[in-house]
Amino acid sequence: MMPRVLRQCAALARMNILSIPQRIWMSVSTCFAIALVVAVLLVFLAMGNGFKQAQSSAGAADIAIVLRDGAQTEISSTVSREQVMLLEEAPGIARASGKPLLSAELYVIVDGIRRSNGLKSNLPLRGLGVEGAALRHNVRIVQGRMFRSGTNELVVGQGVTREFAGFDLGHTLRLGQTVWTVVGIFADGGTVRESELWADVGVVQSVFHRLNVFQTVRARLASPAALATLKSHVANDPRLQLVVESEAEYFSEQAKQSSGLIQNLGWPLAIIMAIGALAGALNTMYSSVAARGTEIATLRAIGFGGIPTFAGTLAEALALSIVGGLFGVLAATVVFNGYSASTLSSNFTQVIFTFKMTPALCVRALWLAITIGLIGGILPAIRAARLPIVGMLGEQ
Amino acid sequence: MTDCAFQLRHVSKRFTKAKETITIFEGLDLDIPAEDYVAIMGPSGSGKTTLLNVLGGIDQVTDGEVLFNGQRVDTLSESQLARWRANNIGFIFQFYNLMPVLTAAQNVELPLLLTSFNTAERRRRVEIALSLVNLSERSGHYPRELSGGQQQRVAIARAIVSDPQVLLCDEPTGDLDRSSADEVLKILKLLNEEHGKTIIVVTHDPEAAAHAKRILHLNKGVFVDRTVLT
Repeated sequence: MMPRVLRQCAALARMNILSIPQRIWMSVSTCFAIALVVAVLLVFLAMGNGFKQAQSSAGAADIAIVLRDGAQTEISSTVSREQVMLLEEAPGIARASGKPLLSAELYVIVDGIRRSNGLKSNLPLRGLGVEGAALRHNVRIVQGRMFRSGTNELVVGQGVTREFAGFDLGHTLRLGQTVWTVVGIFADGGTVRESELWADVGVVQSVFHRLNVFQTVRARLASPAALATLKSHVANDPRLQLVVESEAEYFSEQAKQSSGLIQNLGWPLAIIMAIGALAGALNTMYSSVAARGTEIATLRAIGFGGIPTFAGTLAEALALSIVGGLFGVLAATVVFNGYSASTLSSNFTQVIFTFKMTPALCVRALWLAITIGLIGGILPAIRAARLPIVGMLGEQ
Repeated sequence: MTDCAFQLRHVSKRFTKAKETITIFEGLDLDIPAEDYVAIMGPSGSGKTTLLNVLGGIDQVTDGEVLFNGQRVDTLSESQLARWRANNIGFIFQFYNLMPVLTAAQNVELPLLLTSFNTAERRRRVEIALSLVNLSERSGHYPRELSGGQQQRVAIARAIVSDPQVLLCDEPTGDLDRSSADEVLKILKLLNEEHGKTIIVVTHDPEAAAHAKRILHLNKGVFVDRTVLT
């Protein structure tokens, strides 16, 4: 059987919640304000999460990425042909038919025209070695075919075709001094790779006058544990002024910087808005206590204590905040979950990603709503519990 | 043990408003025996309602002692007073003070939520209380669906449902037409005579007062007349 005090709390909570329609517009405006706060926070969190997933899920633990020592990003790295040749002999790299599974790559920035506003944005054109595509586990051609070596053929990530004009299958376009033909569209599960254009590395070097220069080397490791062997080898060879990371580590670090920035923008904005919503919640709850003054005094006269009165008022505030929070989650999810966007990456090129809501993010945003309800309800609940009985009983 | 439900001993009630001390009553003495039916009359501002609030433990005296069944209640804490009221006092108000979002039965059940009765027992007691005020068929109705007289009868059912010894009534017929008022007064008389409830009514209405066993006239905080009717 429910303890007496809990039964009283439940009865008063029910009574307060049932009486919300008597203050419907004020309650609706409070719910709306809370919904807005939750939706804004959730959109930022989903944006950060989508960006993070686009980056971090691109990396594999058994692929090594080699950059110039001190380079944080591909765009700031250079690797010479001699260094590539030395790496081909390095231990820890997997081999097939005696050949190292390795791709020396060039990464240049080209222009693309956004479908949404017709403005130019940077896109990454990646020159891949023969093994390049095979070193990306999840990549699959969804339309057309892979480019042929030595030709001006491009394959394009499906994020690029979605967001940028002129990259549809079969289209020709001018990049650098050359006309290219799009011969294939590839997918990679929504990762950052879908923001790239791929072509033969030799052709890209030639067109962009970067002969004998690469920016990164990707290599399949004999096993994830072989990363340490390769790292040690590179560190001990003075001709190789390079650093080795697993692809997973590299993308994870890239994702952390940018998604952290997005999420860190979301929280302060949501908190500033939450202060506004809190003022609304306080106003609504103080009005509720004032409107229920006679009811509260009557219950106190009958013998109800301060705790159930406090709990009943707090329950009303929490109910409003939870309803507002759920509406916020619903609105943000319906409108923004899966929404495609792009932003500038640390390589100064566009990363195309989709907003990703998760249950954990929704719960986090709902906690903010509940916090607003708790803070907005606690002071009015204290007032309700301390309301003098005398003077309130006869008011009509 | 004492036969008195209430005893007031040299009770004073003063409060300060805008630096001015206002005396409601000074050195008041009063005995209300158990099973008494007392009407307190007097002009507005004479201290009737304050006296009723003091008896009900919802207002504090400035000086003196308030005893209930021989025990002092003026020294109890807020929470002790709340428990004491729940166990011993039923309130009936001029404007009924029903909860608009609850049905008649749910309103009547409220004081039982303060007891340890289970759901079935609470339901049984609610039915008895509503049948005593002839409102069994209206148990599922909301206050807005009831007339003023019916609402006051629901309030009476709420006041008696936990079987308190005392009913304190503040202008119980003040908002009712004559026939509804008579019906309410008949129920109060029945509760006094057949169920042994001690009833204290504050009223302006001489007809309502005439149902009591005695009438106390209060003026400027002093009993100026004590009329015994039966």
